[in-house]
This record gives sequence, C-alpha cells and structure tokens, in this order.
Amino acid sequence: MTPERFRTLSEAYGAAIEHWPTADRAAALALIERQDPATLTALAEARQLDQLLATHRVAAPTAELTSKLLASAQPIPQRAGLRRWISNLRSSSNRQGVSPENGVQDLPRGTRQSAGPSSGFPAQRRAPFRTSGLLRGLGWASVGLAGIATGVVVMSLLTQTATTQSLAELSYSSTAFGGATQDWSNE
Amino acid sequence: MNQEDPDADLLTRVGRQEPGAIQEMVARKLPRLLSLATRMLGDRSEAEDVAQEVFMRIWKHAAHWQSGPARFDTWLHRVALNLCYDRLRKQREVILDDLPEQTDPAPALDHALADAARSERVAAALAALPVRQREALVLQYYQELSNAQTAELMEITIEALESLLARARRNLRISLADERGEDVLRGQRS
Repeated sequence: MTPERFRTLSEAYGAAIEHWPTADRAAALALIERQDPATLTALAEARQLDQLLATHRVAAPTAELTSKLLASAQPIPQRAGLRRWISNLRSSSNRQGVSPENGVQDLPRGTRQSAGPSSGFPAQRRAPFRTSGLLRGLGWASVGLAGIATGVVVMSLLTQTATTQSLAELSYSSTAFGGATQDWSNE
Repeated sequence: MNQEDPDADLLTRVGRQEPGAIQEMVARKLPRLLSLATRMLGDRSEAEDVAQEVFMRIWKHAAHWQSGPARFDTWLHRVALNLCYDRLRKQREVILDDLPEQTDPAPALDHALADAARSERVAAALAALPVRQREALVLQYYQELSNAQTAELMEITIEALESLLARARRNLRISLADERGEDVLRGQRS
C-alpha cells in the first residue's frame, strides 16, 4: 500500500483501521509500523475528526417511548375472541393494563377474567326467558340483536382497516429504496 | 452473508409471541434505530416517530420472517432509512439554518455544557451535509456497518461509497475547523 492510498482510505473511513475494508487492513498496519511520516500525518488528521464526531451523542430512549413500543406489540384479537373483546371494551371501566408478556397471544389476562356473566352477550340472552314474560323477553332479544349488529359493524371496520394496512405495507416494502436513492443521487 | 444472523433466534421468538422476546427486541434495537434516525433527521421527535413505525413493521413481519441473503439488522436499517427519506422529502423545501454561533469556550464553562455545545455543533454540521453524504457517514461511522453493508444499503458501489465518505468528512472538517483546532488539539496536548 502506498502512503497516497493510505490517505485516501483514511479520508473515507477514518483512523480506526478495524473499520477499513478487510483486504486493506494488514497493509495499512504495516505502513503504520514503518512510521512513514506521510502516513502518520494522514492518520493523525483522521483521528482528530473521529474524536470530534464521537462527541455527538444521541440521548437514550425514554421510558415513555419504550412503553409505547411495547404496547404497540399487542395485536387485535382474532375472530374467535373478537366478540368477547368487543364486549370487554364496552365494560372496560375497570380494565387492567395489557402487559406485553400476556397480551400477545389472545386476550389480556385481566380482561379475560372480567368476561363474566354481567358483560357477555350469552348471559344476557339466557336470563330473560327464564324469569319474565313475552314482552320482557322480546325486549331482551332486541337488545341482544342490537349488540350483535354492533359487533358485525365493528368487525367489518376492523377487518377493513387491517386489510388497508396490509396493502400499504406490501406496497411500501416493494418500493424500498426505489425513490429514495434516485431523488438524492446527485449529492 | 447470512450464515449466522445474530437476530434470527430472537426474531423467531418474537414471531412465536414468546414472553420476554418483545422487550428484548426493543432493548436490543431501539437505541440503534433511534441513533440512526436522529442523526439522519436531526430531529428527536421525528426520529421517535420513525422508530415507532419501524417497530410496527417488526411486529407485523416477525412471524413471517425468512432467513435470506440479507440480515435482519440490514432490513431494519433499510426500513428506517426509507422512513427517514419520506420525512426528508417533506423537509426538502425548508432551508437549513446556518450553523449555530460557536460559543466562547470560557474557562469557567462547565464541562457538561461544553460537551453539549460541541455535540450540538457536530449535529448541526451533520444536518448541513448533503443527505447522501450524511447517510454514508452515519451508516459507516456511527452505525458501524461494514463498507459492503453500507454500499448494499445505499445501492452503490464500494468506490462510490468511499467517494461519498471522503466528501462527507472533508465537509465536516471544514465546518468544524474552529472546533477541531481549538478543542480537540487542546485535548490532545493535555
């Protein structure tokens, strides 16, 4: 390696030889060991800039950001649990927080336990026919039907949203870097 | 290239929704992604938005990840850079502010303040670089990617990468000449 080539590489990769191209490292180290003045000058200049660049620090992630990311890992429940999930949303005033460990798979542990007779559609439908007359039964049935209709609407909206996101994702992935490099290639 | 992707096992566990894997993924990748986006965008808030979008993609794709020629970390960088470029395009019409005035390095100045001021000047100098030069420098120097990985991500040759890096460092040297002359050299003497 010539001192000129050494300077070219130091001006590109800096003074840390371990960050240079693998094929050039041994020759570069040999040149340094020979104490060639031009080589040492180039190395010192590169090191000065490296030291200055190293002063730029990026603050560590905040706890708030970390929490947001963990929460974002919680998926929308699949169809089997959707009705129960919607039902729980309606009675979520005492809902527990979703921990990342137990929330990934089905329903969060806290909401699963709270899905008792007072909040689920099945219990609401069973009760009236055992304890009251026809009118009261029809009233409860209409409430149940309204609930089912609400569930269908919500489910369709959720499905539509998921599909839209999925398509956007595919589109984004397929165009990775396509526009970016062209737009900035002159720089 | 992908014979031993160090993230493969973790990614598999995230895909299986194993407890603890999500936290481990955030702990392992968030600081790195945040550094990349912050240095590319020069804006912490936007960088955090980018990090969140990247993680949404991780959660979405983890179960379907298939080992191929590219490492997961390279894929992450690619997604993050794309998101950064989306935002940089929106900023394109915004004229970058001039470099901030250099503060007088008074002897009484606290070390922490001096470090912060120096970091800000480097950040401003980075922000003033043409974006492709900045990208090359951030990937190679700060993210410590190899020249081959960096060139692959940027879709350029090694020679083109070296040219971009040399121009980036030359521009930074000029921008930071006063800083370099006064502080770094002084630090070397002491």
